[in-house]
Amino acid sequence: MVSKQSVTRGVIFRIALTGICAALIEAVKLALAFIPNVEGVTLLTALFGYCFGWTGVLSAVIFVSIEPLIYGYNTWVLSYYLYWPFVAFVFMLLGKRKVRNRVALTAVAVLLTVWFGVLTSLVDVGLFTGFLTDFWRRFRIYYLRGTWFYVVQIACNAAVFPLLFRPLSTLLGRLRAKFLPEREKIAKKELKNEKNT
Amino acid sequence: MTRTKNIARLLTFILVLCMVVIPFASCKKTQNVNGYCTVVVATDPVAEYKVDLDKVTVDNGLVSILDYLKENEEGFTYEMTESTYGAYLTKVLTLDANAVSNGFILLMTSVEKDFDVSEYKTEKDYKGTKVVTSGLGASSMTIENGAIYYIALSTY
Repeated sequence: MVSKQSVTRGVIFRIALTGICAALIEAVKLALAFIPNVEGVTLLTALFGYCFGWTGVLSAVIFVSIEPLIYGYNTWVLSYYLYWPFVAFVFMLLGKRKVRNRVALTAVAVLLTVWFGVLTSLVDVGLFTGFLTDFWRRFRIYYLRGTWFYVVQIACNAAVFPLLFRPLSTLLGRLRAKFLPEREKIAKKELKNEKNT
Repeated sequence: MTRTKNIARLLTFILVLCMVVIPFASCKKTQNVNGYCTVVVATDPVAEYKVDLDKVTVDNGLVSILDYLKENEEGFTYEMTESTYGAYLTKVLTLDANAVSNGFILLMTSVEKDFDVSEYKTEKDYKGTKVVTSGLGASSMTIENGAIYYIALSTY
């Protein structure tokens, strides 16, 4: 049985971690904002989901909630709420299954990036506003208009993920083990301490 | 291990190359277009201009065409303001967005890939050719041989 003190400490750490992760994602986004469609948000969101589970997913939700405060509200807000927590969630599942293969992780990241282009186009063309007249023709025009931007974003993630994901996930994994040890390990440690005293 | 390092070096190189090259790719692009396009300004009466694209360096979308008309067509004037999003037209000939309440210069095009795809688009038939409100700003519009660019004054 884990002590209340340990549980409380764990919760406090997770709250702090969520805020830090959200702030990091936002900072990286702003830092790379001057380079069109070269972004580190996918990498960080995936990492935090992979390493921190639901804490990472929550940090993605908070990141998306901060964005309209900076950039205002428009259709992209809905796209962001649908997409970024989903990225963290997918990588959370990959983390739980302990998928470490670079190719597999990169392939998932690239597929998600492709989906981002499709999703934002679907939303902007009116999928959720009910404006469905001539929908697929309008979608084709809109999607093809942004081709260059999607290619850049996909190429960026295809280069960044095999390079950075594994070493960063190893680093974050070590930090997690130190500051957020699993409950079973805490219980064992406390039991051992009790026996010693 | 050496193979992994080489792959890592290659990927780093590609990434740095992307980061260096991409800002230039987002700069103004010169469109190499030949032929003619038509600019129609919805004044009363309607003013129509046929532009020889061989004589125009199209590096700023429709604004390049308007600049050419300003230099070569007597009486043609236009005004705009520049922003980070590109040019914002405020006056073309006698169409003045500041002269009416909530006025703006409406840009319509026959180039399909520039069409506004939202529910707020406007369509019009001009001499048998469909023109639709542009989904892009004047600086980003595609200039094509045979295209019609219809400029009107509207309010929101």
